[in-house]
Amino acid sequence: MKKRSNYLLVILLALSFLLGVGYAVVNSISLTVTGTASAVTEDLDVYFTSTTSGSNAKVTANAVAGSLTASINVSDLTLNETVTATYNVENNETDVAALLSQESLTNSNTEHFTVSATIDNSGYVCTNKSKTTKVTVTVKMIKTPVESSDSSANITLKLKAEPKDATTVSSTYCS
Amino acid sequence: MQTKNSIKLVIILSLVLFLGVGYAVVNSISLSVTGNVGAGSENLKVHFTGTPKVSNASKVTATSTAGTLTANVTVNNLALNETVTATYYVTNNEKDVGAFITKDAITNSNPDYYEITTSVKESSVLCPQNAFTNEVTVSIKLKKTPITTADNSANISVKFNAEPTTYRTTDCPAYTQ
Repeated sequence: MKKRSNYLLVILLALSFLLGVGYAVVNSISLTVTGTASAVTEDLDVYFTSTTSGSNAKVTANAVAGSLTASINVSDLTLNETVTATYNVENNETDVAALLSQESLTNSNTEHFTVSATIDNSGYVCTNKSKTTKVTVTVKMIKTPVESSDSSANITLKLKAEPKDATTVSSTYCS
Repeated sequence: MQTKNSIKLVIILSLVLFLGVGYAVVNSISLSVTGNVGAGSENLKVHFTGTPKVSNASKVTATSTAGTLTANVTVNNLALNETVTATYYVTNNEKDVGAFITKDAITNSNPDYYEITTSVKESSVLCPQNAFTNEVTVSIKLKKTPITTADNSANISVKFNAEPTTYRTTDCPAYTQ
């Protein structure tokens, strides 16, 4: 009897899933830049011009162009006489309007003199020097001084200029 | 007696033949291997490199760390209508995958007063193996004078997208191990 040979076929499969020989799926990525920005801080570019005027020869009003101070000198007032001094304010900003308001008004001799101030254009000072705003100081002697110490008064008017968004200022004031 | 032996021999031979024929019939079989093969997933190896440059060092500070995906910019004391820039360098550290760099989202917390724009210098593929760099620029402009403190600053965030792509070998240096 012929011997039957049995063959066992053993197959070993080694599967390697090392995919170094393949390639990985590459995902898109984002590069990000973060940060902050800020503007320079500057004073509002609003100032007196050199143009001033007085109601008569008894008043001298002075201002230096580009400055923040002006002066007034009144002499030889008579009882109940009122004089005025007018100053011009302009705004050199390109996109920021200014709103003038009276911050304080001091008068060292209120018994004999009254002092008041008005600002035209409702206080708005338009951009690009397109339109000046007038500030008028009015002085009146209300009582005849007896003493020499009563014959004069020191006055100080302080104005505040606030920045305002030019786009919100009515064309009535700035056109 | 001889006839009996002959018959036995025939029977034996027949059995041998039968067994031989039975043993020779072998059917084909199939061996099969089944399963799933998948590639791994990785992020594109594109990142910032080098030292950023700025248009005005007195007003702009730009920083980035090589090998990272984030950078920073700080701008101070901008004047009305002034524009400053910060430029960052980007490189591709892949072995054999190119990258397209494009502009993506811009976030600006104060668009009424600040204008933010971005640009990418090269529109062509960024070659792998750090062979080249591309430049991404952030521009910042003050377009309106702030009045209040709240309006005076802006927080900004800009994104650039890096997308994998193939490339022509004529456009990039040859791949090396």
